[in-house]
Amino acid sequence: MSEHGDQTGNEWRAWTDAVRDPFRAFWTTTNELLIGQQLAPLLEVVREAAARERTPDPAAMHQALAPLRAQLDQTFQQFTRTLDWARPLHQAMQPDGPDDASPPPAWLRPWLDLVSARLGPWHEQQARQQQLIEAGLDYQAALADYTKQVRQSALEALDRLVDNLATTPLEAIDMHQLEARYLEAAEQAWEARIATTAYRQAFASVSNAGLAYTRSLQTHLDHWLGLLDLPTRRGLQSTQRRLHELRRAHRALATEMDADVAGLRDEVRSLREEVRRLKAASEQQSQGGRGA
Amino acid sequence: MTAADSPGSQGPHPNQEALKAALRECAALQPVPVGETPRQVVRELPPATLYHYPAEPEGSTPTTGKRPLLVLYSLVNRPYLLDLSPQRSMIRGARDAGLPVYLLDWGRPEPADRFLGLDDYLNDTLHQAIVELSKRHQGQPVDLLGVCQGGTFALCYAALEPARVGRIATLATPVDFHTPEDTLSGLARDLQLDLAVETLGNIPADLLNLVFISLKPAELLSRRYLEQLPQLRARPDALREFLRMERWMYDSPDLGGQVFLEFVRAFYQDNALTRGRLQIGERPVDLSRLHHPVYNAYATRDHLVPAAAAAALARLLPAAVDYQEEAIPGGHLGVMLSRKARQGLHQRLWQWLAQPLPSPARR
Repeated sequence: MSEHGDQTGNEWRAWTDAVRDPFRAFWTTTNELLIGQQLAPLLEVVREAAARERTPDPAAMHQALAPLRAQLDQTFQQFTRTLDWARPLHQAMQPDGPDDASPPPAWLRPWLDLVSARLGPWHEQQARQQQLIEAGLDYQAALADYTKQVRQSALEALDRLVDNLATTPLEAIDMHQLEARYLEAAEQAWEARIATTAYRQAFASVSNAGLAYTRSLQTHLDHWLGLLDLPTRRGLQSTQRRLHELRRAHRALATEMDADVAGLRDEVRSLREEVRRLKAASEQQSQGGRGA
Repeated sequence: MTAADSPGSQGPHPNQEALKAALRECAALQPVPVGETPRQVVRELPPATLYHYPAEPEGSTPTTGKRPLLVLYSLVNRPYLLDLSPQRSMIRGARDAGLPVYLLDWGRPEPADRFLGLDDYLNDTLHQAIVELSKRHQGQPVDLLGVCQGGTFALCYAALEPARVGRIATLATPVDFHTPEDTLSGLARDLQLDLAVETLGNIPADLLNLVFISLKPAELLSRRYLEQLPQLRARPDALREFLRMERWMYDSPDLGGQVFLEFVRAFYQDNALTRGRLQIGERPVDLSRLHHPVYNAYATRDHLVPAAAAAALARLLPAAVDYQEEAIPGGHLGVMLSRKARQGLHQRLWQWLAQPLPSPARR
């Protein structure tokens, strides 16, 4: 393997290592939540209060939930950090160059210089690449904002759970009931969250940015497919559009023909009527003539 | 603390065993049948198909002398929700009540259908279906039963072609898309629709399902699979119904790109129907032109079509219209599926649809 290949391989491995931890943390949190392990300390607090025939103390409940809160927080932070993987590449492509903290790999430098300067026979292509990377970064930023909304909802669910238990405690609560209460609190927190303007905006941003990124990828791919004279999205779309126009033209023609046929039917009907009248008149005339 | 209370460290969660058993039973019951009421194709209108549900037993009273009833469902899901099982079938109920029942199934749009807009769906496909049914029933007007978005289409078509329509029944039908509790509308408000359609063509069903799930993730994921499903263990009939619903929920067609764009822009973003600004195929859609008897039923706790969004129809119709309204306790699907709706609302609806049309002077 070449020196560059080694370097790329190492960077890839470093990235996969960096990604593995947040995903493992996310899975562990989810799994532990599913089996109720994280709620066990809270159950103790609620049961102790019930044994003393008192309302559970909110401060004690918050304390019991502190490890879960910390784990949720950490999971979201790690997830957000994972989304940042392409930022060094983008910074490297800026005219001012990368910041010293994250220099690009040496083998990438000459290409990056050309891209930044937008020179040479492939500068259009390079501009498309730049746009693709920017669209990717916009998407990452939007996804990070959206993740903040989800995080906020997850943390609000814990507050709601404590409020709920403090105001309407159960006399004999078991883990299953506690999980049901937690689910209810999570649902209420989520419903309140998605009704906010902040969530609506984050949802629209992540959707629009995701679409823009995909669109950029399509443009990029279409360019290369076109160079190879392979079927492109653009070509397919124009065929579909023409087909649709033909379908509409056919429909208009059919409507026009229906109207024409209806008109002709009316005309034939009135002509038949006229012929019938003329026949009747002529018969009457010939009978009159014979009578005379 | 008992073993069951601390399952992570001391043993399996009690629900986990029930869940495992229920999953094994699910596997044995699959695939579950849906849409079992016998039907015949009347006409292919690609991507749509017009079906007839003949009366049973064969040779029973012919229904061709009666006004036909055309059922219109939404574009975003398959219409067999209305014929989910023989026990829970609105279509079978209407047929058994002696109504000549037809369904316009919008079908599954292919990539080549991406440019079909509201004009094509309403002024072409629906119009052709209605002309066909009217011919089959001695030129009589056609009654429309619109469900959810299908109800919105029924109202629009009736406003465009009032003479071709008899009675109109709408179930869980949105009319005012800007009511404060309309979460779906809030999410659609800032979407770049042109970009969406340019990028995706037809809108993938999986994407739409994700949005629907995101409205109630706890109920549709956690509670459904971890709480409800284990309780259905050893109850094969109930489990079969659960699986039928499961099949329907995720057996969604892609949504035609252009019709998605036009519908979301006109209805969700501009609220054009309520504001009297809607145009379909350059023809104004004016609900004040409706003179038909209308039966409007909606759910009180509908997270997709809030009660206020459906009840708004009352104020948009002319005062002289024979208008009836019924609020059904529960959620969106309950209007079509719940036992209470089947035994109450649906029976009243079939009776109402079987009534003759008011004389033209009164209409």
